[in-house]
Amino acid sequence: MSEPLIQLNNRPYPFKDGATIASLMAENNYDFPSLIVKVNGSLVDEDSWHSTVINVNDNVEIIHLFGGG
Amino acid sequence: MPENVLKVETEYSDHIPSREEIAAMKAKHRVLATYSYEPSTIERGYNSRSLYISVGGDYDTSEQDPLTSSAKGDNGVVIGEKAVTDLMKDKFTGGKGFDLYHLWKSVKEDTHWNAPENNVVISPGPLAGITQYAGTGKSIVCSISPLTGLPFDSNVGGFFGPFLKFSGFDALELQGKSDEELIIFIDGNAHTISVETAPDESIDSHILCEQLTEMYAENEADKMNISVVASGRAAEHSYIGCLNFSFFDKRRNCVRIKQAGRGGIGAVFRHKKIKAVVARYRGVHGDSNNPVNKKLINDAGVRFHKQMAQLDTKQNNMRKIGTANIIEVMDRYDLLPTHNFQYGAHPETPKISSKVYIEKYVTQNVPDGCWYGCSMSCAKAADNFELRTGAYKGSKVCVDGPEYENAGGLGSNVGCFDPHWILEANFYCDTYGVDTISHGTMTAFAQECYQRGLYNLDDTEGLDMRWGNGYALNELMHQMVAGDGFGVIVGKGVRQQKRIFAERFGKVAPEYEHMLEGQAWQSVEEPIIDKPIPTAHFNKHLVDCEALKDFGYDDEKVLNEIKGTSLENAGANNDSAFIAHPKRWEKIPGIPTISREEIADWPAGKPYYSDDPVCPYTNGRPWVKMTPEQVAEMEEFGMENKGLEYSEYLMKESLAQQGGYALCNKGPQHDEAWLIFMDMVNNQIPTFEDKAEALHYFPMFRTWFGLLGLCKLPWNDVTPVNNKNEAEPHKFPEHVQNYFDIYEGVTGFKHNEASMVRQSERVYTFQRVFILRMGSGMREHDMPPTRSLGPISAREYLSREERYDEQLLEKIGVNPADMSTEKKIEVIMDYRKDQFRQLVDAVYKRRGWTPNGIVKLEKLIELEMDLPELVRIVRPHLKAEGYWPSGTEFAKYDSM
Repeated sequence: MSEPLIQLNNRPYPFKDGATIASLMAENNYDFPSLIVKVNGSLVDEDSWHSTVINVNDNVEIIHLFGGG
Repeated sequence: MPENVLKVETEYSDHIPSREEIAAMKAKHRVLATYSYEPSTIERGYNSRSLYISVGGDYDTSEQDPLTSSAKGDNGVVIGEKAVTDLMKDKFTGGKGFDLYHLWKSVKEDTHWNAPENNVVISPGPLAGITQYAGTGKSIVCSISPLTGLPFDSNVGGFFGPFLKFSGFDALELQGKSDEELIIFIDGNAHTISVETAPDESIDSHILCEQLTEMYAENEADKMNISVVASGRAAEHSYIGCLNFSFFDKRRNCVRIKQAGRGGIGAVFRHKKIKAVVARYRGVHGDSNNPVNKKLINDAGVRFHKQMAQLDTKQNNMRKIGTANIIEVMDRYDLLPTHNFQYGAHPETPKISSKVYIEKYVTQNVPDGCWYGCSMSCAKAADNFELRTGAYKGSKVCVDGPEYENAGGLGSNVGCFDPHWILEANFYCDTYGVDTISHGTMTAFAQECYQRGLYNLDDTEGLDMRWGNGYALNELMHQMVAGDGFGVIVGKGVRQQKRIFAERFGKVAPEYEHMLEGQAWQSVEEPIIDKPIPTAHFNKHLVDCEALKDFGYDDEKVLNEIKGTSLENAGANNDSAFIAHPKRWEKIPGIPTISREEIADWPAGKPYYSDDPVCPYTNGRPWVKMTPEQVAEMEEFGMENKGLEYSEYLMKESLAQQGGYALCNKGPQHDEAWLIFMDMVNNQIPTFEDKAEALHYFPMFRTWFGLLGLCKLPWNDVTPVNNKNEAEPHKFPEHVQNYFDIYEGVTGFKHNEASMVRQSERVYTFQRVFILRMGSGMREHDMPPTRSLGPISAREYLSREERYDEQLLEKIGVNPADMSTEKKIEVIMDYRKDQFRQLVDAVYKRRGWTPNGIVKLEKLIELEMDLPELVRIVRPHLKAEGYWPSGTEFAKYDSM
């Protein structure tokens, strides 16, 4: 049986039981102050990042809004 | 003034001149020419005329637009006016567009940067000078660059651009070459211009700008109405000269400076012997642009100012630390260039984080805008900063910055993690008139060559070029000022360094050792192999220094310093710039002197003497050519393209940004496109076509700022609350709409994305044809150094082995398990070079260029830029490549 995955920024990423958006960010060092998060195309507000649990096959987009100097 | 805004206590009295000193300097001036002009009424952002000044010299002006009015003075000085035509406004808009228009007409195909006809053109753009919106005081400066030999544009804040415009001119041309030191004074209220000799004023900007502000202000209050354009002494001996644009900071009671840093335009300015251009204008107000609809501008300004007030402290902290807020961000994402772009992070980055500058150096609670009305206020300053080295050692000064680029270029990229040395280098770069970015990148290249054993202490006259030597970093600049020492070679930039090192710094082959006649040659240093720098991942675990030790980072001193919060102990790795001071060499009689033309065929390893008009400095030691292998080695990690040094972002893991740099018209500066997050992190542009689209839209959008007189930072350094709901949030549509509103407010024209892109694409395409005219602008010129594409050494590969092994397996489909590191590098680099090739194909196609990078005739026609001058440049290339279109509708272009 293949390893369960999610999509993180359109790339396959290992699914971890109980992972939240916040834990996913911490794992990837995503601490940039201007981020947009969508799960399966729906926006997730910042105050829900700790409580939003990621499910198998979810499509998670964590968009960094930075365009350089 | 709000109560929490400080009046900064400063200690700058030692470089603020007395009235007696100023009077004595001014008494030495000799007026060469004066000119009086009629006041103009700005309409929709335009005066419809520009100012032309020749400072002397003999050159052909027959291709230039005629002067509508002029005055001739002594020493060949000419002051005059030119009309800004409807064609110019329609096709070139203003700012960078006007600059390039005038530059094209000034120069020939073979014009060098130091020819008298080369032109320094300054234009602020039709929106410049707005006081209701943030970031609206920008000027663009263009000239033929000493680094690239191509038309170059550089943007800058400060008050000069708006003052020039409100004085009555949409652009200023500075042509010719003077034999005497000059100052040009534009009095926008008296409507007079004078060109005066100025023998006694300083050349270094922090002194000169104070002197001239004091000299030309009528009283203390009038200092706010003075702006000075100046450079510095290092610009006279280097190719990386910058221009400083001043403004008076009444809270600090001193003059501040902002930099048109890139491209070496300060070197052109100083070569013309122009000490300064001074503009004086009293009377800036919200209607100075005579806008069509002021309410549109006011409303956009109010919306933006509210966002800054509510969001900046939660987001980028621009008002506390400016662009330096991203130092630690870049480190965490493995993007902070370290040790000449080998790595993207370093364990010592916390020593130079924004927090350190906020807490220890940069004055807080001061609204540091570089033009009126800028609520982003990112022009931060370190006050009362005491210098340790150089001509101003012991003096307390105001340092502009640090900007992020300075921390990257003068810090991590040269291995210096001491915030004091970074600020000291920042100060000296500014006042001596050199570009911090090029200085950082070219120093990093010289350091890596030294540490690879490609040259030695004999070549540097003892200057210790190892990573992290803050003294050496500054000593290089002091040598540039003196025009003597190894710093003069470094100051010519990476491209010239490669040539000079290759010509001079080879090793004497055994069969030629007898030619030295017993002179002791400095023994060749063993290569100093620096430790691989681990990934950003380790920076999450600074207290876990065992992880760093496991990786091979075993410097106990550093590990102890970064453990916990021991930032107080930050210090340079060395306590001197020099290891030894070898004597200068006497000429050895048996060694021949050959001409420059003979160097090409001279054997590697055989000593010789010659001369070098680009860099006359030599320590007298015989020159020895490097081997072809050594020359090829330098080409791999010399981080320049088109002659310009790369700016300070690690681009290895973003194919789009590799293109953003190398496909940039002027050379690798990120102000055309910064796509690293969109590409590498967000994965928003996965296909070649996606990347090509981004490499079309963003360079055009960013060009637009330079046409209009706008700063890019307010566009996306604060994020509107509702941006997350936008279909294309990375474009910051709400802020783009603000720009359309203020454009309509000033000019009356209602923009949309398509019309904006078209307006920019006209100038962008013109610049591409211009660089073709000057001998570049083809595919071969858009090729990057190998290191920009990926790891070129085992150290680099092994430092991110997991990442690269995964790419071999998943992207290329080869199993790295049984491969040597060298083989892995070969395979991954072959793959990446092919990816870059495909990217270039896609971008050229999207931009309407041939596979060789030539603008197609159909693109010129589509943009209504089918001007005869441009058609004549592209036609022979298109015909030779088989892209000249057939059909009767194109027949007229054959005879243009």
